[in-house]
Amino acid sequence: MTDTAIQLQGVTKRYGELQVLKGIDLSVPAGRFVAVIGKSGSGKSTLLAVMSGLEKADGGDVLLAGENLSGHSEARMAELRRRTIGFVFQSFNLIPSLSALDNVLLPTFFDGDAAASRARAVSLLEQVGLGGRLHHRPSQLSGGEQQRVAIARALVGHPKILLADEPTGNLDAETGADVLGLLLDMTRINGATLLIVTHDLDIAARADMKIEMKDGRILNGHA
Amino acid sequence: MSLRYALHELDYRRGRSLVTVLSIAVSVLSAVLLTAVAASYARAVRAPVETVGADMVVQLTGDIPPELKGIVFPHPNALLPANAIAAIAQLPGVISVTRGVYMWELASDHYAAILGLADGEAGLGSFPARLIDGRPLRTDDRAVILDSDFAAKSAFKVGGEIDVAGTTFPVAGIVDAARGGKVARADVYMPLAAAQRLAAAAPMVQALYPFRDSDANLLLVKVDRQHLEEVVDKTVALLGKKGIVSSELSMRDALSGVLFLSQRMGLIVALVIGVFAAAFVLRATASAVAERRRELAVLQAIGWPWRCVRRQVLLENGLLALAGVGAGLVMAAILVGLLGEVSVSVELPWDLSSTPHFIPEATLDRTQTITVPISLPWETAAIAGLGGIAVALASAFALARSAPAHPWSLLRNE
Repeated sequence: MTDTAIQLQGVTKRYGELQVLKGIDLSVPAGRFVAVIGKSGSGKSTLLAVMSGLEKADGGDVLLAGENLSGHSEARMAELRRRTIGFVFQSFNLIPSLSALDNVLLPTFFDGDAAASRARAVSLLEQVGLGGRLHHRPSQLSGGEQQRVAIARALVGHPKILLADEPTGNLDAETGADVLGLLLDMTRINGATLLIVTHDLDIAARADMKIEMKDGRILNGHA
Repeated sequence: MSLRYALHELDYRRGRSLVTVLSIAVSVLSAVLLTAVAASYARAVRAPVETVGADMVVQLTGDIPPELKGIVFPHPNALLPANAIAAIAQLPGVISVTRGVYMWELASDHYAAILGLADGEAGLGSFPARLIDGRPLRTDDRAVILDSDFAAKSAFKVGGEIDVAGTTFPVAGIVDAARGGKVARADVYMPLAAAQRLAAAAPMVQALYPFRDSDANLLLVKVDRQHLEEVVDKTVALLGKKGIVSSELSMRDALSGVLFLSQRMGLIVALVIGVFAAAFVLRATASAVAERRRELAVLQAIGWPWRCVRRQVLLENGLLALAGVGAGLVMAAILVGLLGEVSVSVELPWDLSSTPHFIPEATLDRTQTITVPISLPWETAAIAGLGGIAVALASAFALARSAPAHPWSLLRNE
């Protein structure tokens, strides 16, 4: 067990001619709420992608829950994501053909105990207030409800780290506040580390640690 | 890989699923149905010659006798040289050769077509199955068997006698005319030796040919069907321009006026439909995958290895293919059952069923209607089925084989 959930050392990332990350050094303590802020194009979303292994860093090291991602195969990286990370996206990214329950169950298809997975998924949906909407498709749910399903999906695999990319960006202020509250509560209950990429300075103000990015670099990191 | 997810996905995109299933089904249906009908036509083509128990009937064109009186050979039944018969029997692919003598008895008050046959499957051995009264003939018999129509018209009965060219023969049996077909159809059937003796003694035969009592003017040849074309060609070459070689190959010419689908043509048509269906399935899969790039990226983000994402797409396409193939086969089985059979009317060449057209009562309607049941060609069905599944899986595999280079680009904020 490590006290550092995410550690980046000299991480660089380039897309063609564009250097998006320019030597990022970062350490995120376990169990904390961290907000990454910055203007569009500052590299904060790419930072999230590199942390999760969805994009490979061109240089430097990324350690996730103590495990160095360099050299991991795509399959190994997928397994690490499944066991370690939960994702919450701005546009929810639920599978439109599946019910709320099946969406939450998606990350557990590779787990042996289907009954236990189902019980946890139902429990999570009840905790986010959707106990009565287990079998509704995303199109039958409001934006706030869809994001609640996405939160339940992110937590179903007992992740140590929750990565959220503008989780309230597509919601009105009131619903966004509710969802953020829920996200914080659920993260705390599950003992996970929460890293949110956001434009919203109010959200950042509630974070244990605020990281400001500009032009591919971290300007400062405040606890 | 999740069956539940796949079924939900196919149900969610119901329209696309239905069109894909239908295109595979139509492809399989057309392949199976066309092959089934073509196979039935091919069997129908074989039927006229097969009814005499042979695959090839060999004759030689001769001359018209100076007088049409007594025993005469119809002009498509000239003496077949013994060395030609021996050479045909030696051809690779020839299983057996049954010799025969076909002749007319012409008198002022009656006419009869007479056929003498040697023993064997296409000869005397073919009679027991067609017999409706009496007994079959033996090689050394001095009796005859009569065609049922002829016997009824002339009031002949089993146990009675018939006079043929001055020789009296006991009537041993009567055969069913309807089951005998119309190739080399006769009124009176007798053992070859008896017919040879009548022909050898006939002045109007001897006026044209040096026919001896060991000769023949008709051959019924059983051939390994794989070598049929080759045997027919070699026989034609052996006999020259005057040779008349009838087989299913010549029957196809007789069928040229009707809708005739050869097995090859059926397969070509089915193949064309299959190619269009494959192109459609490929296009449908491509657009489905393109539409779902973001969804597939989500699966990657939540921890699905790309190989599992690919398997999921393959599973969905596999289910569509199975449904399409299954529907195609079921539709084919239903249509084959509803069609039941094909009927083809073939007008036999006069050579194969020669009657003296100058005697009105002797003329024979040479149109033979052949009804053949259609059956499901299991081999084609299996090939079409596997083909349908292979096309669907190959298209999915081809499109989903490589992981997106940057799944994150599909998931980040827009």
